[in-house]
Amino acid sequence: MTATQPYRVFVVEDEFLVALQIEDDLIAAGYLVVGPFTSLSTSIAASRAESFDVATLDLNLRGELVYPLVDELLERQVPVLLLTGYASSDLPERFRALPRLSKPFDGAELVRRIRSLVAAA
Amino acid sequence: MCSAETLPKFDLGDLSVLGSPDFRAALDALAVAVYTTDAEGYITYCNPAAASLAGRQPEIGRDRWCVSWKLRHPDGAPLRHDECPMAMALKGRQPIRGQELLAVRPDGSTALLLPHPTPIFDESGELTGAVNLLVDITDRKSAEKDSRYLAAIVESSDDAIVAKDLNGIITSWNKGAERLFGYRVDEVVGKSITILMPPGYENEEPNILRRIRSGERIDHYQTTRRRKDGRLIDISLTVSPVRDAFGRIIGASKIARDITEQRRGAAALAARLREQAALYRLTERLHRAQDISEVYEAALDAIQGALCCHRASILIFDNSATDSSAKMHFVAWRGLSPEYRSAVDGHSPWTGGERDPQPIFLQDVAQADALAALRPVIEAEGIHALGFIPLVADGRLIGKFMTYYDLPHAFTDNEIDVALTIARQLGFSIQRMRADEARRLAEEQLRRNEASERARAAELMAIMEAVPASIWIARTPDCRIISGNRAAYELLRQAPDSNLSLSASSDERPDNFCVFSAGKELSPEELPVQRAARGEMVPNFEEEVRFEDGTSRHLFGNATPLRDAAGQVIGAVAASVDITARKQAEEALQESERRLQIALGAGRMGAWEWNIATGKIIWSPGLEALHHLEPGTFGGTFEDFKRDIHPDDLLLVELEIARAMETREDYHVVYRIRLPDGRIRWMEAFGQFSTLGAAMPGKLAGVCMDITERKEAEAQRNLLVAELSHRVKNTLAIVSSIARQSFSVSPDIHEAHRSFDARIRALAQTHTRLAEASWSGVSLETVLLDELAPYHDDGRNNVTLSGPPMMLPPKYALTLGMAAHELATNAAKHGALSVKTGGVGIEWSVDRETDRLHIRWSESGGPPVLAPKRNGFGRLLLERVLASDLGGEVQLEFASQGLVCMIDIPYPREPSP
Repeated sequence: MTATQPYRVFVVEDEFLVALQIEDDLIAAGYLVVGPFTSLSTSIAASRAESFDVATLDLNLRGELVYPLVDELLERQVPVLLLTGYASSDLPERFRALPRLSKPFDGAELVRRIRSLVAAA
Repeated sequence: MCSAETLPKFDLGDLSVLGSPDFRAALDALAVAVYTTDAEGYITYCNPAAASLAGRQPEIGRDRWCVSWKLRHPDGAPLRHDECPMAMALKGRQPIRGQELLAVRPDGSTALLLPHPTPIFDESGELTGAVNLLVDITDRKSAEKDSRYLAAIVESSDDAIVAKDLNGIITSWNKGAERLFGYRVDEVVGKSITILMPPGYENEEPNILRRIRSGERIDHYQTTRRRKDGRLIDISLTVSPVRDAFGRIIGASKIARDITEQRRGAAALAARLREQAALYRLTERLHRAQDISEVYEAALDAIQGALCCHRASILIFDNSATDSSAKMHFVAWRGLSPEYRSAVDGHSPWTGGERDPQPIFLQDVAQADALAALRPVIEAEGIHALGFIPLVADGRLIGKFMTYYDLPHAFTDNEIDVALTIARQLGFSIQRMRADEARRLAEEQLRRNEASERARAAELMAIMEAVPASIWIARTPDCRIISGNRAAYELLRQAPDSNLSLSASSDERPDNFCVFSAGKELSPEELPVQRAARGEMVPNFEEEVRFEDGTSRHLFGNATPLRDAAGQVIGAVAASVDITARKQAEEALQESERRLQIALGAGRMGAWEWNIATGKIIWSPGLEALHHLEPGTFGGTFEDFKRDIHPDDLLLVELEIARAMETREDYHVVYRIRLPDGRIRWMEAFGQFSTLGAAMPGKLAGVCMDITERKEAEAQRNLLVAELSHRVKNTLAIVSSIARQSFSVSPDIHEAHRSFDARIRALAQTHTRLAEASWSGVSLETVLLDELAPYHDDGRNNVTLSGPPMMLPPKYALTLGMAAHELATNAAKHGALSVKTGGVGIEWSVDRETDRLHIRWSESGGPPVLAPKRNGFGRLLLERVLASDLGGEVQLEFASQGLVCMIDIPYPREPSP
């Protein structure tokens, strides 16, 4: 990955209006958005087909929890940022240590977290 | 016999000679009837032979024409004297010959005559008279008739009638002979009679001829002859000598009769007699038989005698077993080799106990496939036909008898009948013998037993008196009298030998107690001993005897019917022990137990106790119920306790126990158990130590509660809190996004504020609706009306809604609510709702086939429509939010008469939270 090529961020968010804001913020910060995807099945399929450097994941997709995708991405060592209204205690044990941004979030904070994840990777 | 031709000829030409005495003497002596008449026909002379023939002395000179009394034609018709041949000869002056007539004598007898009337003329030719010679032809006539008659009889006889000469050459052969021997008359006449002799019978003919020559008649001689077709026939012969006129024997006549059938009949009759005799002897001998071997011998004799077989045997199943594995064995036999017997022993076409077995007859061993492997054995024994006749007793197969024949043998129906008769008799006898034997053994056993029985009875009596149990004995089924042992009298506080029956008459009946069972007073008929006396086994009864002084005794026992040898109930015996003390202790215990169980059951609790020294764990039924175990099935060890604990919690429980034991503090733990059906329940246990002594490990006892419902309620609450937090934060994220969009798109800050406020209000409106319905859903009509109501004209005519009732789940309601808000505000600002003449029609329908909801928003009557120059947030929201959040399609048409928006989304089948 060179500096001239924008980082690709995989976005999963079922609320269109929220996705719209994430998209706007990331694009404004110079990232390339893959998505947003709104259901578990389409996001799993897309995550296997697309290449990306980091993922932001909404945990609850219309009642479906996104955990299988999180497990898969962790296994692939893709940095993951969880976007959720849930408290950390509501999460399964293994996800409690993951970077997490609580809704509603500030666009600047989102960009800052993404940047640090990409840098760490 | 004489004939006219034999008469001596003499000249009657001169009638005057009649006058001469010597001539007259000659006529008188003549055996031939002669009389004379004058020319007028009057009798002038009649010799004695004529008078004898006429049966009368004619009157000379007065009788005319004939010496006879009356005349008839040969056919019997009357013949007048003046028309008789003599009269006609005189009248016609011609001799007459050949006319027969019948002369009737005064005694009624007749003679058939052949008259020879001859007129007599003198020298001048003058008729002077006539002479008549009467020839009696009566005998000759009847002999002719007889001969013809006999010939007809011979010809038509069914018997064969054959004549032969003394050399045995056949001379005559009737129809019967043709039928019997098959030869036609022209084939045999002139041939020797020996053609009929079958081989071996050649000597018969010379013998017969010798006897015939000596004049002997041979009557009903039975022999065999051969027909032309070669078939042998049995015949009965009667041979008679034939003599000529001089009495010389010139030949023989034979009458032969076919007696084949007769002979067969006779043989059958003899066989029947033999069978009957054999059966009769069998019956008699079976009746007298003293043991089974005599029965077998008698049966074998009968089988041999009646069924004409040299060999026979009897086989019987080895025991009285009726199972199919039982085998038949030889018990008696005639003419069978040991090798044969050992080879076929145990073989049978039927299985033991078979019902209605049928006899089997194999008429030719060589053809009998059923014999299979046994055939060589049977053939080696020289047996070519076999009969298997089942022996049945009490309707069950018990054995069989066998008949063996040296040659193939066709079994006749009669033989089969006889065989079955013998089998029946034999079966009855074996059964009778067995019954006799069994009875004899039983009697012997009985005799042997009686002595010991008496001894045992005395022993029993002593035991009965000594046992601490109460014993009642009823010796009649009606139980009017019941006696007991000493313990029984003592228990019931009655004098020894008094009547203990509550069914006794009122002066005998004990009246100091009543009997109760399960709290209910028993009538005398309900007492165990009385029930048993009616044939019922009454095991493990419990009853309470309540005395008039208020005390009571509890009894536990058994009552049994007493039966005679025939199984008839003749009384009953009941024995019981006093369980009053145990009962009282039990009742006290049960009462406290019951109270505890009520307490535990009410709180879904169970009690437990762990004896640390023995490792034994006791669970109350309530605790077993919490673990879904049948009462009493908990195993009672620490391992059994651990088995149900969820693996993830086991360590925790063990740690808690260890801690409690170490510190001697109270035990408290919450853990999960897995029920037998796999479900998980939460348990909370409390326990306390109790020490038995300083050195003893003591006991840990406590209660255990099922707190699953509480745990689930907690979990549910936690879930709701998390869900609510998620929703609120999500909603805030949406609001934040709407704010960003509203403010970044619109250049006019006031306008942006108004739009934002309106959008948030619309969102809040839908939230309120959802909250009112506990987030179960809102109807489409409500969502639309909430957005459109502010723009209604006075008559509410400018907005029309039509479509089926349609419940929307929360997500649908929120998203469609936002879409409706954007459309409504646009219509109010720029479209049909901006003028009084305009209106909006909204129609929706559901396509059940594709499960899609179609909504059509169409405006009319508004100002001319222009396609917008740029895509505002409203349009973005409409087109992309619906597509993304609901998977729908949206089409906007800026038609000249007004905006048309068509929304097509998957139909939300079930409102879901």
